[in-house]
Amino acid sequence: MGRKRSLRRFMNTRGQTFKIQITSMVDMFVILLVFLLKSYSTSPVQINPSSKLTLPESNSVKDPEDILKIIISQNAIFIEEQKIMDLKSGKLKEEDLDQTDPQFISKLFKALDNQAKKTRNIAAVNDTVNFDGKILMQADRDLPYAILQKIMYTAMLAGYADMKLAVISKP
Amino acid sequence: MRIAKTRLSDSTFEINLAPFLDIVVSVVPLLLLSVVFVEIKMIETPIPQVVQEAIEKDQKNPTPEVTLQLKVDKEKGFTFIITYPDKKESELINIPTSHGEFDFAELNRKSSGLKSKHPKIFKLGLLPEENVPLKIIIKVMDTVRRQTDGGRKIAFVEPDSGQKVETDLLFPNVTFSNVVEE
Repeated sequence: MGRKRSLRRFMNTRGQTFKIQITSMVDMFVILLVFLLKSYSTSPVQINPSSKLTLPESNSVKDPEDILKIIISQNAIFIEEQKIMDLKSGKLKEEDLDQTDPQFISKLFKALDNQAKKTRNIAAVNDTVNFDGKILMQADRDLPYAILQKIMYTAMLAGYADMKLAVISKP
Repeated sequence: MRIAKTRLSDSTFEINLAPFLDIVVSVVPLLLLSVVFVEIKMIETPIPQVVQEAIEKDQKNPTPEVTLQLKVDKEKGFTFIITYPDKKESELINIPTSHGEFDFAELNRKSSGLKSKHPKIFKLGLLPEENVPLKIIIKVMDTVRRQTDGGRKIAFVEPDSGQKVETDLLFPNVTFSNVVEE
């Protein structure tokens, strides 16, 4: 009984409302906001982190352009977000290569040719769009040159001769 | 007297930080969504077109230039192939691997030496072997792009303007020369 009475008296003396001290919290948020604004990016190239796709490191300082992207991971080739074909631990399957020209990947050529036709059709009616044959290659750093060479050769035949390589900026 | 009274009443006050906090709390998740912890850059590597190459070969250049190529081999290391238009045989400069690793420091030194000899050439054709991984190719491109040891800059006189140009760039225009195998 005595304890209850003293608690009631305490509540009456302190009042029913109280204020949280938020100044320190605002300080923290402002620091966080500055940090986030510093690392804010509007880059046209977004990579989805994956163990099968690690971009190589480079000290290049050129910002990536918003052009057609070809993504080559250890287990597949994508154009933009669309999967074109599977790879077997960074190697092309025999059936994907052309019989007469072993450098030529027919599935990839079809997909790239469709993209080129689409862009050319848009460019025909829209002056702001023009087909310049630029392509950005996001490839895994451990992929051998043999596969990259075949991809570049096929891309060149499809009209994409200006190949750019996506890299991670060295800190 | 009135002034004194006013000062007395306004001496302590508290800013209401709650609305500011509301804004910050709604902005933070938005920024968290667009934050990047890895910055992506790009390297330009235009592929020489078959047709363009043929045209270039056919055209007789009145002032022929030296062609520089770099072969990348996991066993033999780097080999510069310098082709002069007036000589039949190409000059070769080999940079062997040391303990199975590529010697990038020596590559940069040799590139610097070649640049001093041919200051107006910025183009280098890359000839990597099939088993060379992309990370090595990118490292080679970085090494031949500019001087890494902070040595003296390469100076040459611009023929059109007659101005002296100093640069630490070696061969920034790297192309893959063996995409189309002859």
